[in-house]
Amino acid sequence: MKSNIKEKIGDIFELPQDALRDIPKVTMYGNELVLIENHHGIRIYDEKELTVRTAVGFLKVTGEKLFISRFDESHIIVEGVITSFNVEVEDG
Amino acid sequence: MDFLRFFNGTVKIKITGSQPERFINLCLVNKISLSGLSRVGEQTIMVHLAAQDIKKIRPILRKSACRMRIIDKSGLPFLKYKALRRKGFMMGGLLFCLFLYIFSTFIWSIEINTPKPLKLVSAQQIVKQANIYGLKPGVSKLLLNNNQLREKLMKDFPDASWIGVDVSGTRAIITIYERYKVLEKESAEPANLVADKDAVIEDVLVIKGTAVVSKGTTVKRGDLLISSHVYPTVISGQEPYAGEPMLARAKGIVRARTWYDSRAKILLKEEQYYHTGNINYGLVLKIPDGSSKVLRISDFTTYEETNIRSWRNKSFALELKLQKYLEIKKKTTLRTPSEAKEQAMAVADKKILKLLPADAKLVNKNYIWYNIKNGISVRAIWEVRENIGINR
Repeated sequence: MKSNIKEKIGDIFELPQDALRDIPKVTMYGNELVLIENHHGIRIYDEKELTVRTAVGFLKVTGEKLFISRFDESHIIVEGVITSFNVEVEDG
Repeated sequence: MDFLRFFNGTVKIKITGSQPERFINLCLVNKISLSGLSRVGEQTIMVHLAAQDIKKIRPILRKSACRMRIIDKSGLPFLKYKALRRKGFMMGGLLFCLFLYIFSTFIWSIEINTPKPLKLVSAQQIVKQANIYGLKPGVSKLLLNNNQLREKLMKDFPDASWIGVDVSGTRAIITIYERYKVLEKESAEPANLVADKDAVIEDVLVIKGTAVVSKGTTVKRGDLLISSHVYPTVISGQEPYAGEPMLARAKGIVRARTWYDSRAKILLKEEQYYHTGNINYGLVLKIPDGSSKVLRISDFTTYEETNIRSWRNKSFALELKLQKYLEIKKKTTLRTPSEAKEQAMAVADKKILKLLPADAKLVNKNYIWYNIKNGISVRAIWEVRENIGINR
């Protein structure tokens, strides 16, 4: 309900959705860099896989030589050779 | 951003544990920013973090059951420790700065600047004299008094019309301007010799021309003394020359008695105001209706006020004016009659001495005294002998 009101207000004032709601925003620069905003931490991280927890579920980045160049409250920047990007929506 | 990171310092650490991800997430919860995360092994990751956060991660390590090892430290805070370890190097740097500063307060070279070529004075001599007065390579700038030196040099070299001593960096520059000697070219045109002032002739020495006056003649200013007419010498027994005279520039010395007089007045009791040299500043608030309110006034009892900013002629609605007060004090001088007399005489004599030409010789002095209210007045009359002839 709460998010519905936020959504409506956002529609009326044409505000970007990610600024109002806690949903992730993903920006990709080719296959070498992924920027994830509004995350809730990470679940798995190794050289071949990075799984990020978000409000909508898990975002899974796979590739070679993955390297997190930045990690703070709002941003995660992953660099490396990215081969796939999956969204795993959690039920419930 | 990179600069800020360098300024705060960063630490590279190795985290070892069964669940390094847990450590990363706890960092997020505790608002610790990480950068340069990389997986190096099964249970090991490398992380960079700000030096100030290193203390905060200890409880996190305990919670996530990880161990930490510091691999590398970089940035300004660690550079400090590094510098402390290399004491000799730092001391060298500091000493260099110190010496550079100390040596820049000395004068190392003296330059001569002559905008126009010198003929009467030699620059080397001026520099030599300046050396004697203390301006030489290796002397401290702080001990050098430019104005005093300049005045001393100008006194020693009257042929230099202006000498400037400037210090620029470690150089002292002596600028010399020379006095021009204006040579009066003696005219060869025929002219009479006339009296320069009223006088009584004492003796006449003719070099060229014909004397018109003789001893005892009273002349007025502008009267003819030696005429420009020249006649051939008459040999005894021959007839006097009757033809037209030749014209020449009359030359000769005509010594005559002249008089100079001056007056002076000295009061027995005199009140004078003088500046004590003390300065005070006051603040005045000007209000549009023309009145003004003094916020801070001088603590002098008697003073003269001057406006510091007189250039401003536009008046604003409300303005704050800084005022300068110069302290004035009254000085009362009391003199005995004999003191007053002496001083009056000295003043009168001084006035005459200013008027006298260099070749004048004193013959007689006279003083006439008048008693005036509260003081003494004197009229000094000097009788002198001088050469009064000038060509005209």
